[in-house]
Amino acid sequence: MNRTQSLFWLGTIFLSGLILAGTFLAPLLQEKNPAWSAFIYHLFSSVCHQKVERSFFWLDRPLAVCSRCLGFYAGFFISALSYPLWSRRLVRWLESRPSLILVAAIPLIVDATGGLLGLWWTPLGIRLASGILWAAFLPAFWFRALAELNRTKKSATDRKPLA
Amino acid sequence: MAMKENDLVRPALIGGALAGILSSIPFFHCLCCLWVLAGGVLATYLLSDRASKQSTSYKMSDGLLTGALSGVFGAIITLIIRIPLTGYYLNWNKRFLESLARFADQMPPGWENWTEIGQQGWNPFTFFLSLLVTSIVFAFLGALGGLIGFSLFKPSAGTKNETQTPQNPGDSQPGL
Repeated sequence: MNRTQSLFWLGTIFLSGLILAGTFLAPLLQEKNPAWSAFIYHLFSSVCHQKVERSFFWLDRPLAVCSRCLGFYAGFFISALSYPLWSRRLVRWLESRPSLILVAAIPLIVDATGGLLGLWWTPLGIRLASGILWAAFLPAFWFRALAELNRTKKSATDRKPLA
Repeated sequence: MAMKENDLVRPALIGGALAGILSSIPFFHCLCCLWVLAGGVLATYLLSDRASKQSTSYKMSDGLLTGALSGVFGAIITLIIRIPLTGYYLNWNKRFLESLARFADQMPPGWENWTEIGQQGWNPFTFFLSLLVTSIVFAFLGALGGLIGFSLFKPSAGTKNETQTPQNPGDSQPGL
């Protein structure tokens, strides 16, 4: 396994895992360290409405993000974690179709728009699934972009004249 | 000719301003991470516009980087704007805790006083910790917005771009 690729993969897992872990840390700390728990809820308030009726509960307390956001973070983390196991054919097929990012977002957009307009109320499981569906495709493009970044840096370094 | 790193900064600043301002405005901030993603998309759109004017190419990694930068700028702007809006957000947190109390069987003792922690004045430790964590989350979401933006505004078939260059299949996937 290429060292740079491993570092990118580990870095992505660490970052996405940290964010996902944060959503569970808030309810976990509520009893033993309420100030830190409140702080974590506050941190996630910039990216989520945190409506209690739209969130899953753990230890009888809501997670720091709603069910849709949880699906997004969990989907990305699990997908990125399993990325080394994907077949190369699948990876190449996905990478050549960046429009899939938008296609996979359609259920999420439709559900969110309907909910915003008050047309329907979706169960938490459906919201979670729409987040997972969208996020599951993203690692293919994420790692491709990182690989491109690495190639660009390498060619820039190679072009530099020797001292 | 590829985009230079300096070409990414201005689109990222504009995208970050959108993300930061809309994420901070009361009511608008309820739309989850939409504004941060939108900031990344806007930054990539501006990047693609600049690339077409300069007749240069841009790649998916440029979109990712611009989006991530827009997220970081957005995080900084959000935290700065929230300083004068502290009172509003403390009330928001209080309403959240009251809503939580309706659903949770038992709340820890003294939970009504949690919002008073924020009223004790500006704390540099919590400000910089918030800045660090918010920057990481916003950068991650902004980068994803950059990927979305690339899929929307990717260079057309007539322009030189990464999608036409033969790819090394082993590059992106580490494999086992």
